[in-house]
Parts: sequence; structure tokens; C-alpha cells
Amino acid sequence: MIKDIFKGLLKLTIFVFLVLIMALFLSKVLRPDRLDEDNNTKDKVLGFYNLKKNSMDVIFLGSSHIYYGVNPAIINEKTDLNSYIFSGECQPIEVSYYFLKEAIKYQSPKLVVLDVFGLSDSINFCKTEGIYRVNLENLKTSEVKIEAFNNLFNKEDILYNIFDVSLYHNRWYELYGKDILKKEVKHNFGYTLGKNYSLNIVNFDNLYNGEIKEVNLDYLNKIKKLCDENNIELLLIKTPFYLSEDDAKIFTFIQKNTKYNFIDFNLIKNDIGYVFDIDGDIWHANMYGATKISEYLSTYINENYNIDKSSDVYDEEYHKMIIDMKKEKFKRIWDVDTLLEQIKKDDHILFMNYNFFEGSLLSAQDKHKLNNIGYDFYNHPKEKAIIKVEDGKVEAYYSYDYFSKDFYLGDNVFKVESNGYMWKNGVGLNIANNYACISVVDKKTYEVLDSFCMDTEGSLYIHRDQLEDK
Amino acid sequence: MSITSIKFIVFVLFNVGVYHLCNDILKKILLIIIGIVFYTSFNLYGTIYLIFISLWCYFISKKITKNKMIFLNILILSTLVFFKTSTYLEIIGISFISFKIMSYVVDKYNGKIKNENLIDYFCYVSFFPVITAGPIIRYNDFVYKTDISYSDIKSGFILFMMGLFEKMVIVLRINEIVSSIYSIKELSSSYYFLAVIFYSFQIYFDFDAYSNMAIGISKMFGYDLKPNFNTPYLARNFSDFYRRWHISLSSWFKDYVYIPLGGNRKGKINKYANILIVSLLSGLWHGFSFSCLIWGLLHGVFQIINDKMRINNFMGVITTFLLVTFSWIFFRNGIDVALFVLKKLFELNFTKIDTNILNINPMDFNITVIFLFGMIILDFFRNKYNVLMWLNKRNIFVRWFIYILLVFCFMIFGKYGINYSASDFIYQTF
Repeated sequence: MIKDIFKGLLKLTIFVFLVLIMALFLSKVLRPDRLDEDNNTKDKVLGFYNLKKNSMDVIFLGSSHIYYGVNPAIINEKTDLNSYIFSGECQPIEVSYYFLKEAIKYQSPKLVVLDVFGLSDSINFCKTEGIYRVNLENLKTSEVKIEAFNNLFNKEDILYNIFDVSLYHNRWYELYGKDILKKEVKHNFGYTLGKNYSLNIVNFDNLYNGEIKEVNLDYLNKIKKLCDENNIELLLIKTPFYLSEDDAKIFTFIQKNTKYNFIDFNLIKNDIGYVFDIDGDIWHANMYGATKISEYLSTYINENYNIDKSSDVYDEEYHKMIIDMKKEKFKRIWDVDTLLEQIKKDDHILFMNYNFFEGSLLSAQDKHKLNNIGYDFYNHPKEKAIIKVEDGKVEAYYSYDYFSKDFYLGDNVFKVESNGYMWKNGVGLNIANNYACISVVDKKTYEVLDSFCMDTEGSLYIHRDQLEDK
Repeated sequence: MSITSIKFIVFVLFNVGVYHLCNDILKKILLIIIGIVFYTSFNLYGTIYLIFISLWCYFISKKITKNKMIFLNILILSTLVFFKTSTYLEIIGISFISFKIMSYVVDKYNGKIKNENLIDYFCYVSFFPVITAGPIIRYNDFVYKTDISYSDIKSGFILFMMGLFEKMVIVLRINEIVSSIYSIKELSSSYYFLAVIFYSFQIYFDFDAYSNMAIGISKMFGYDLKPNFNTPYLARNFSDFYRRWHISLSSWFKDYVYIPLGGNRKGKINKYANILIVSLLSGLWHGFSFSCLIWGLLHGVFQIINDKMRINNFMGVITTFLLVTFSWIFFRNGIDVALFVLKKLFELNFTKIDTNILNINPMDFNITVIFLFGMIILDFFRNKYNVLMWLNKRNIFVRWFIYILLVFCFMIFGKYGINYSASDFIYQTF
């Protein structure tokens, strides 16, 4: 009988083990994609786990302030370092501590940059069960996750929290028709490209006058201790946002009462040219603001830290992010002067055409603008033109009749027609109609960053019409 | 400690392990300790009452006389009435405890119990699997199986888990639908028909689930208890129904009230009067309320009518089921709600059931119906096919596949988690 009982216990143990595996799997499948794509903490966390081990040089921690505010692609471009924004929506600092604990199991960063919104007064409205759960539930089941749930939730519910199939099993019918198999995670190294902006109505001058006596820095000190134990430098920052007076007092306290390196972008936003009308909304930087913050940070990192790059394996992906950002930036420019200025400033390949016809009017001023980027209206005023500009060199073709030219970049064929139609590998880039058209192409990847046409009747204005396939 | 909690499962498994390492005397002492600990987890006063009343009855009934028997029964009944009507002090399972002790006292008086000892007695009174919601076991049926095998322990555990599945997957799902219908005022007759029929199965499977869990745990500790249900909705008449429904209570009333009153031995009028008395007492046992009294009265009346007009074929099964279902309307609800439901039923205003009105996803509703039908089919065949025996005969891969599938169904379709306060077993409130 005793022997049978031991055999039974062994079988029971194996069975329980199988049940736990099933519970973990079902937890993963049934866990909801809670937030919109921009704030999808799930993809940010899962993306982190997909990274090559020990390939990140810098880890950014914090809330949405950091994942909107810092662009790892720009950090890579300016410092040649790999970084990931391992953060979450509305993340309080206690959660950031557990994120760091988890991060150092998989990566060996030399520098951790922590946005201190998690210490602010405003974070208090984030300290809800929902927010803790959104941030923690996609971490891998490990001693870190168990410790986090144990300390931040009711200890009695630990099994329900770890095996959250118990919370989400009622969602089973929402999975009907959905692809529940592993889908590709788009992480963007934890960055979210922001687009919003708001009116600059906060008077920052008076906010930093007051002081408070004490701030609970327990978790900040824990983060520091963890960094010290792992030979990691710690840098504190605060991205610009519409902070309250209490927030300002807390940041002042940190600045004055701790020995941490702390960059408060609220105080130096004028220095970096950060303007709320253009660069961010009340909480987050947009892509323009993130560029400014990231460029400043990159300079700071280059000047103050001596970090060797771990790996080249992500260079292409970072460059892809730069491309995506540039595409978004271009898409938002509708002013001809601004657009032409941007084209001239950036070092891209340009494909251009001019479709002259009798009666087409172009003012001298507009001709001058277009001449600045490669057109030649003085020598070819009445001819149709196809022009390629690369590295400052202009390759131009003229004719009085319709014609087209093929240009080869790598494995790609760019076909440009004198009536303005342009194609890349047979795919149409624009719909032309007696216009001057320009396609902006990235030199490294030959991706098309923008393709637009300008009306030549009257003063120039921009069209970006739908593409069609040839 | 809720018996549907993980804590309870760990509690049972741990104690089973320790229990089977002990000798016979230690086993009983351990069972007493487990019983006290378990019962105290609900309410300390309940434990104090249990210890007091059971010791009091034990020592007085050592040299039992008729007057002492009557005195003890009146004492127990008085405390039962007091605690059931008291708004300040609720003692969980008091009806079951009271009837258990009363059966001991009467059996002792009738000479059916001999050579009892305090440890065996207290083990019987405090036996934790049955203390809160039955079955009501008799002292002479509480016999430790000395040749208990590993197979018994395993079967007991599987029976317990099946009861848990029944409760968490099927009963709670049905409860969600029934409660939802009852919480919305203006629905068509279709919904109330659905609620009434569903409730019939809810209360049956709820109690059956608990009974399976209690019998399963008892088996693990070496005590084979009698089944408490025997496909009651296949009963051909009301007498048959009572031989199948809550068998331990029905037989208790038969042995300790109906037969002592004369049963059917003193003419028809006396028989029907006894039936009515037992039915009314049964109603009051379930609850000191007018609606429980009505429920008991209905059962008595239907039983009398049934006795006069026997329909023993398939029509009898349908008629009995419908009459039992009808009387459950009063059992579940207060008089006002019961009358409202009857009014809605007799309006005969039928519409298509839209589960969105009940805040229940249609797929979720369909799954509940599928599980319910599956359970009904399993129940109908339980006499012919013992599920446990059938399972034991399959090879290990088939058995484990079925277990894993059931666990999967439990995980996905069960009603559990932080957001749930698992509703008590219905009979735990008596």
C-alpha cells in the first residue's frame, strides 16, 4: 500500500506538472491584447525576449513617457549603440524595478536610463490593479514575476496571478476565428512613434519654485543597487510633459537630494528646441520631440560614458525604424517650401520629372525653388524632363515628347515617365497628371520615403494621391 | 475554507497522506482534529456548539431511556430552530449535524448501537466531508474499511474531482443563466420556462456534485458512504422520487418520522396525514420560510395525488419531473417572486431567446447547454455504467487523455478565479 501510494504520488506530480504547463500555455493564448497598438505593452515585452542575448548596450526603463520620448534608432545612429525601451504603459517605479531585474537576466547593458515619471505625483492614478497587470502579465513566468505579483498583489491570489488563465478563460469565445498561433511581434525596440501635439499652455517657470521634504525613493535605491551589483551605470531622465507643481517638487528633490545623474528635459526644453506646439502632447513627445530628446541624449552618452557596442546584428532594423520615421515625417509636410528644404537637407536619392505642356504656368519664384533641388528651367524651359539626383550629382534627360527612363538601384528598377508616373519594381508610386513629381529614396535600403506631385498651374501645391499597381 | 478552493484540495491530499501513515487509533484522532480544524474555518461558534451538543448527547444517551431520548431530541430540535431563525448566529450545516446526532440518539434508544466509544462517536459526528452539507450518515453505516487499497484512494480522489468539475463547470454556468433571468423583470415566458427547467438541474447537479465530493473524500479516508442520488428525474412517481432524491434525508424522515407516526399501517387518512407532516417538516428543514413550507406542502399534496393516480410509465416520469420542477419555483424564491414567475409562465408569451439580453455570450450559452445535456445523459446511464469502473479498465494513455481533457474543459469553461466568489453549494445553507 505504501509503495502504491508513492507510485500514486509520483503519477500525481507528473500530472500536476502537465496541468501547469497547460495552464501556462492557455494563459498566454487567452491573455488579451489590452491596449491600442501604440501602447501595446505586450509586444514591447515579448519583443524584448526575442532579442539576441547580451546584445543590448543600453536599456531604457519607465512608462509611456520613455517609449514615446526616446527613439532607439536615433540612439543607434548617433552613438552606434544598441538599446531597447523595456517599459510599459503608466508604469510605476516599483514595476520598473522588476522589469530591470528581468532585463538583466537576458541582457548585459552598460547603461540603464530611467524616466522618473514612475516617481512623480501624477503616477498615483496609475497605481491600479489593471496597470500592474498590464505591465507584469506578459513577463515570462519566473522568480521575478512571482516576486512582483507577491509584493504588489494579494499574496493569497498568487496562483491566479501567475496562471492568469483563471482571469481570462472567459475570453475563449473571443478567440474564435482568430489566429492563435505565434504571430510576428513588431517591437520597434520598445519605441512608439508618436504623432500628437498640443498647445504650449503650461507656465513652467513657477512650477519649480517649491520644495518638498521627502520622497519615497526606496525603489529607486533598489534599482541603483541592482545596477551597482551588475556594473551598470544609471542615468535618470524626465521627458517633457505637462507636469504638476507636486511633480516638479519631486523632481527638484531628486535633483538636489540624490547623487544620481538626472536630466530633467522640462528644464532644458528650450535648449533642445522642444516646443509643445510641434514636439509633443501633454504627456508624450511625438516623433519630432523624440528626435530632439534622443539626439541630446546621444550626445550626452557619447560625452559621458565609454560604452563598447555589443553587436551589429540589429543595425539594419534600427535603420528601418529611421526609414519609417522619415516616411511619417514626410507624410506630414504639405508646405512646398518646407518639403523642398527637407529634401535638400537630407541626403537621399531623388527621382524627378517635369511634364511641360503649352499653357502650363510656373512662376519665376517656383522655378527657382525647383532649380535648387536639381531642375534646370533656365536651359530647358519648354522640355519634358526626367532627373535623378544622388550625392549632389544630377543626371538629367530632356525631350519635347513623352519619354521614360529606367534607373537601377541594387536589385530595384525605378521607372520614371516624363508625364510624372513613377514605378518601383512595377509598383506605382503616384498618380501623375501634368505635374512635376518627386520620389525620395533612401540611399541605403532603396526604400521610397515619399512620393508626391506638385501642381504647376499657379503656385505650387502638393498632391499625394493613391498608388496603383502596373 | 471553501471546498472548491485549491487550499482545500491541498488540505485533503496532505491529510490523506498523513492519515494512511497512522495506526487505527491515530487515524481516528487525526480525523477528529481535521474535522474540528475544517469546521472551525467556517465559524468558531459552530465548533463550540458541535462539541457541546455531541458530548452532551453522547453521555446522556449512554444510559438512554425514553424520556432522555425525547429530551435530547427536543433539545437538538430547539437549538436547530433557534439557530435557523437567528439572524445573529449562523451555524453552517446545523441541519445535517442535528439530524445525525438525533439518529444516533434514537438508534441508541432502539438498541441498534452497541459497544460505542467516544472516539468513534466523535469521529462520526465531526467527519469533515459530510459535516456541512451531508449526506446524513447513520452511526452504524460509518464503518472504516480496514482493507483500504491504493485503488480506493485513487477512485475517491477521482470522484471528488468529478464532483468539483460538476460544480465549477456545469452548475455555476447554469446558475449564471438562471440568476440572470431572475434579475431582469420584463422577459417573455420563454425565459422563465428556461430558468425553471434549468434550475431543476442546477439544484440537482449542485447537490450531486457536493455529494460526489463528500463521498469521494470519505472513500480516500476509508469510509464507503452510500450514494445520495439515483437519477431522481427518472422517477416514475413521487414515492419513487424520494427513493432517488437526497436519499439520506428521505430515508431519515422515513425511519425517524414517517414510520414512528405509523407510516401506511393505520389506514389511508393516517398515511396521507403522515405524508403531509413529513413533507412539511422536510420543507421547514430546508428553511424556516413560507416559501419552503409551500414547497414541502406541494410535495406532500403531489405525493398523495400520485398515490391515488399512479402513472408508472414514461408519462409518469414526465409528470413527476414537471411537478417537481414546478415546486422548485417556490423552493428557490420567496412567495412574491414565485407568484411573479408563475404569472409569467402562464402568460404563454413565447419569444426567441436572445442571450445578449441576459449579458451572456451566445457561444458561452451554447457551451452550457452542451455540458448540461452531456451531464443529463451521463446521469441517466449512471446505473448501468459506473464511470469510475469504466475509466479504471482503460489503459493509462486513454485515462490520462480523458483527465487532461477534463482539466482543459475546467480551465476554459469553469467558473472560477479571483473575480468569482464561488457561490456556496445550495445545500450548504441548510
